Amino acid sequence: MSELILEGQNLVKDYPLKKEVFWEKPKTLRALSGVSLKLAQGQTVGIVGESGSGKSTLGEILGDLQRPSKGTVLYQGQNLRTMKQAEYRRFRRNVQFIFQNPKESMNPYFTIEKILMEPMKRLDDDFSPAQAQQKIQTILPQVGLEPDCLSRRPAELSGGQCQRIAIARALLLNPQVIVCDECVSALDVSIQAQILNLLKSLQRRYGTSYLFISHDMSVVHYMSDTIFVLVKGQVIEQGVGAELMHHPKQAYTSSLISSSLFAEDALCAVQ
Amino acid sequence: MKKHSSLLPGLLLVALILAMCLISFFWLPMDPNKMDTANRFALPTFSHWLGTDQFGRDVLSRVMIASRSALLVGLGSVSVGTAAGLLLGSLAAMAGPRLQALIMRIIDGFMAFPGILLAMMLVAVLGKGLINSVIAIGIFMIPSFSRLVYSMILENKTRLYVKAARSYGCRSGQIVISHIFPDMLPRLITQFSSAVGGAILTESSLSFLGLGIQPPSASWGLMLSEARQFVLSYPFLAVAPGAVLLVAALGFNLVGDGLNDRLVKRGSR
Repeated sequence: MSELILEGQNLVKDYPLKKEVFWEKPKTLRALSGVSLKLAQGQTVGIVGESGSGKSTLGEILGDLQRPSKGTVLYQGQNLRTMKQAEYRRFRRNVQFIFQNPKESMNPYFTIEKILMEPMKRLDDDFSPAQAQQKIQTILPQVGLEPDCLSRRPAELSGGQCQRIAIARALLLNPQVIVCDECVSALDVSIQAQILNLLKSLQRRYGTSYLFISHDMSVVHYMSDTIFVLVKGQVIEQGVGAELMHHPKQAYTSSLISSSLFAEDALCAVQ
Repeated sequence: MKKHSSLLPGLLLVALILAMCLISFFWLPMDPNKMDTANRFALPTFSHWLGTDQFGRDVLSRVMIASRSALLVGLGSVSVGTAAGLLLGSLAAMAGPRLQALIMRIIDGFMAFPGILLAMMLVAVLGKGLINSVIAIGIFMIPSFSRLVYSMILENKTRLYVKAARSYGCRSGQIVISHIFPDMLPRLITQFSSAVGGAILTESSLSFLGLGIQPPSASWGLMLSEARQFVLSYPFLAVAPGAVLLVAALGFNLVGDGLNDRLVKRGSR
C-alpha cells in the first residue's frame, strides 16, 4: 500500500451548548464520536452523510481548522500537537481545502491574483512574486481559466469559475491532500460534472489524495476509492466504493444511494 | 429623499474650519494676545472685524488661532482613540473567552461613565493643558472605537474566507490586518469623522469649565466661558466662538453621516 499521509485516531468532537440557567451542568453536543480514518497517497476517501452528521467537522479536524475534543490526528505518523513548528508548516502546506461555497471562501475585496498569491506568500519558504506569477500562469489553463480573470474580483466571476479558482489556490501549494468539503454542492449539475472530472484528472497528474465530503452518494462513489458513511457522528458503514454501492449492508446506506439524484451516467457522459 | 444630502454641506463647513486654521499660520488680522484697554467690548469695525473682548483683544484673531488647538485636540484625540480601539478591539475579538471577557467588561465599565465626567476625572489625574486634553479625550474615545472594531471583527470572523485564510496558514493578526481591516475601513472612517465633532465639543466643554486650555491661550470654549460673564451687557462677545464651534461640530458630524450613507449603507451587500 502506498504511503500513509493523514490519519485520524478515535476522533471525538463535543460542541458546548448554551446553558438555559447558569447553575446547570455544561451540556455538550457530540458531533463526532470516535471516528478513525486513514488516507494514503493518491487515494480518495469519501465521507457521506446528511447535514449534521459531523462530516464537515471531521474534515476540519483532519485539516486542523478545529481541535478534536479527544483523539489525535497524525500527519505522516507524527502527532499534530507535538510536532515541531517547521513540520507543522509543512503540514499546513500539504493539506489544503476546497470549500462548499467558492465565492464566500474568497475575500470579496481581493482580486483573483491576490487570492491566488496569498497562500504562496504565507507558506512558500522561498517566496518571490515573479515565481509565484509564473506558477499562477501555468496553473490557470490546467483548471480551465483564462489569464484575464486575474484582475477581477470574486463577485465578477460565476460560481463554477470561482470553484476553479479555489482549486487553483489549493493546487498552487502542491499539496498532498485536498479536503473537498461539499465542493460541488453549490454548483449546477453540468458544472458539477466538469469540476469532478477536473479534480480526477488533476489527481492522475499530481497524485494528490482527496478527502471528499458530500451528502450525495453518487458523487462520493464517483470520486472515492473507499467510502465512510457517517450518521450522527458515527461511522455506520465503510467499504470499497463499488462494493458498498452495490451491496450496502445497512438500510441507511441503501436509502442514501436511492435518494441520490445525481445520476452516475451523467458524469460518464461528460467524461 | 435626496442622495448623499449631508456630505457636501458637511465638507464645506469642515473646509471652512480647516481654511481658517491654515490661514492662521500665515496671516492673522492682529496679534491675538495684544490688549487694547481703550478699545474693550468693541462691536465689529474695519479694524476689528468681529469686535474685541473684555481686554480689547481682537476676537477674529483669537477665534482663528483657537481653531489650531481645536483641530489638534479633535484629530489628535480621535486618532489616539482609534489606534487604541483598534488594538483593544481586535485583541478582544481574537483572544480566548477569558481575555475577551476581561477586556470587554473593562470597556463596558468605561462606557458607563458620562463622557465629560470621565474626561474631567482624567484631567484631574493628568493635569490641565493641551496635550493632557488630547490624552483625556482620546481615552474617552477608546471604548466606542473598541466596541465598534470588536463587533465588526466578530461579524467577519465567522466568514468562510477567514476559515480559508486559516487553512493556508494566516495567523490571527494577519487575518485582522489583511482580511478584515478592508471591510472595517468605511465604518471606521465614518465613526472617525463623527467622533472628531464630538471631541471638539468635549474639548470646548473642558476649556469652558477651566480644565482644558489655559488662558491667555485662546480656545473656543474658554472664549465662551469668558463671554458668559458679560453676556447680559455684551451678548455679541459669545456669538463668534459659539458660531465656529457650531460650524465645526456640525461639519464633522454631517461629513460622518454623509460618509455613512455613501460608504457603509451602499457597501452592505
